[in-house]
Amino acid sequence: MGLTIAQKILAKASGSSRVEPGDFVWARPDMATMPDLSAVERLKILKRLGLTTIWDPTKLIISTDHRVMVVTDREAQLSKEMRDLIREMGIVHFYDLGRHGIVHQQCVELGLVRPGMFVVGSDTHTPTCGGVGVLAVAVNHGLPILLATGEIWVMIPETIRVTLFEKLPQYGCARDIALTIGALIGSEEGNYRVIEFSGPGLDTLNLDQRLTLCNFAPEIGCKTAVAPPNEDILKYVSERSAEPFDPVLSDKDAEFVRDYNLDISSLEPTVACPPSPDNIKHASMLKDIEIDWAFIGSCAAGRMDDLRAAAAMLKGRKVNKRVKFFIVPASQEIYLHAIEEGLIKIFIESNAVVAPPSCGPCYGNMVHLANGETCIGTGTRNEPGRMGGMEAKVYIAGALVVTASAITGRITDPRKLMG
Amino acid sequence: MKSMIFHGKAILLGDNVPTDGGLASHRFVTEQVYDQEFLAKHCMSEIDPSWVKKVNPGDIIVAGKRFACGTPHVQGFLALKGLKVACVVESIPRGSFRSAISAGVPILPRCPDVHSHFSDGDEIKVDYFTGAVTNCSSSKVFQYKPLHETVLDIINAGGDIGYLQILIKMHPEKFKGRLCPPPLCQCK
Repeated sequence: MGLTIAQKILAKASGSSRVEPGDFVWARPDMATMPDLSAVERLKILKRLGLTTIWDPTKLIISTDHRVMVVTDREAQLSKEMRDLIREMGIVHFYDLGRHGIVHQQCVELGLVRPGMFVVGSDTHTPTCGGVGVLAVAVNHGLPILLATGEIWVMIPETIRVTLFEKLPQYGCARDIALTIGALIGSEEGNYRVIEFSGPGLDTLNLDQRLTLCNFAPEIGCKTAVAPPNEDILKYVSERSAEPFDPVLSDKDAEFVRDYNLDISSLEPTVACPPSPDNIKHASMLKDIEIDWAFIGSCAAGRMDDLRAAAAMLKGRKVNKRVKFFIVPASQEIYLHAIEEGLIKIFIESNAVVAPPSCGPCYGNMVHLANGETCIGTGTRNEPGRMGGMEAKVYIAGALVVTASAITGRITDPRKLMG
Repeated sequence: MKSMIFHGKAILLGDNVPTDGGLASHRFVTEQVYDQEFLAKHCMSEIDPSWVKKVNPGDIIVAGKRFACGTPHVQGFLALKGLKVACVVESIPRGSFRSAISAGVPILPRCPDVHSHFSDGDEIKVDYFTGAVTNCSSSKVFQYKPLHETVLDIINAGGDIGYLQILIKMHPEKFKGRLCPPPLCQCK
């Protein structure tokens, strides 16, 4: 029997000739990622243990992303302590304000994670970079074991294969695919497993869209998701890194625990309603839901693909007067591209607010919803309290649904504004 | 290690108990609070402020499906650690399972129907090594998949930090060149 991508990458990382689902191994990641928010505590743990630095200061990527706008003494103190510890421990890949982006975007843009690698991060959305063909797993508060020893315990997961056919319609976003797959698989079946994408439909998706697809995996309990790279992805990586890399694909006779086929040309614009990301409805079914806030950004979106879609719809239109529309590029590089392409001008002329690259409102920063307020955004999650008040409502969708809704003031199927 | 037995009173929780907004407030995540005793006092306060009053050290939470759903922030499990409770659950998202282990909270993650076998206050015995869960009130034993021995070692050490402390003590050679020599250590 052949092997899946997850089996191959984890066998190599654990020094095993072959691993099977259910096996318990200690594996050595090629790279680790950590956002600023939890970095202080993780690094302090090492210091309290008497360690002067991490196992390999060249293999940890930290980027300032959650705490970009600091407004309290405590936050300021934690940010200072983080910078002091990073300097003291000699961590090489630290991207502070001005050089920053959301860490899951930053590690891909900088060519620091490459196809075939095993990547471990402390943030829930570490699986995002599966879009470039790495196996990326979140271990949350478990990162200090890796930082101290260079190893992490892993249970070898089963893999679900999702084969995509056709291509997205003009009104479609990668988020429509992600939300649909999430509801299709569900959290009981997805739990502990890896999603591996394949098929001719995958080949029509660019890197930004692949990152969005893989970003969704943790919302249904998956260990991660991975999209095998095509020529375009390999070219992108080669242009950003001189380091060699070794793409990994599943064997033709690999064993998948379940197979799903999805025709992405027939997808409807989709919205995840409160209180969870798998509670989906078609945008066309959600009539008369007025919104107070709209938001494009986060590690699930906030890339050129999303910003271009928003700008194309906003051009010549205005944001509804009842709506505050925040657009937050996922990195400094994306922000600059958006300026060069004239997208930022369109946003400003439409009365949207453009904020500095960060996790932004997805994490309850910049925008803090009051109880009774409603937001539609491209953020990762929508449980009560995620963006502020426990009684505030958060809907999540792709950039086109969000932008159409920002224009009309209520949740709107983008086809209504696309002629 | 041939057994790891916890014996106490069952505290029942239903399906879909969230991490943020449930086991701990999302506010404690944004404020980066890691104080177990503080978090314990506020555990479940956004769902039921009186819940912590009925929980005593040594109790065992018997929860339904998707226990600790939502973002698997560790604060919720540090709260449970502070309460000195253990858990058996019908299911738990993998990220939250991982956070439970990191925090050192004993948990059996896959116990289908376990919730239906207990009532609040029943005497319960859980062997985390064998996977045997006993309702001492009804004298019935239910068998589930046990935890891996290394995972048990981490829980027994009190979580990741305790595990690392033991590892550093037993194998200082693995950390050569990175350990502060004790007499000169200025670390806090």
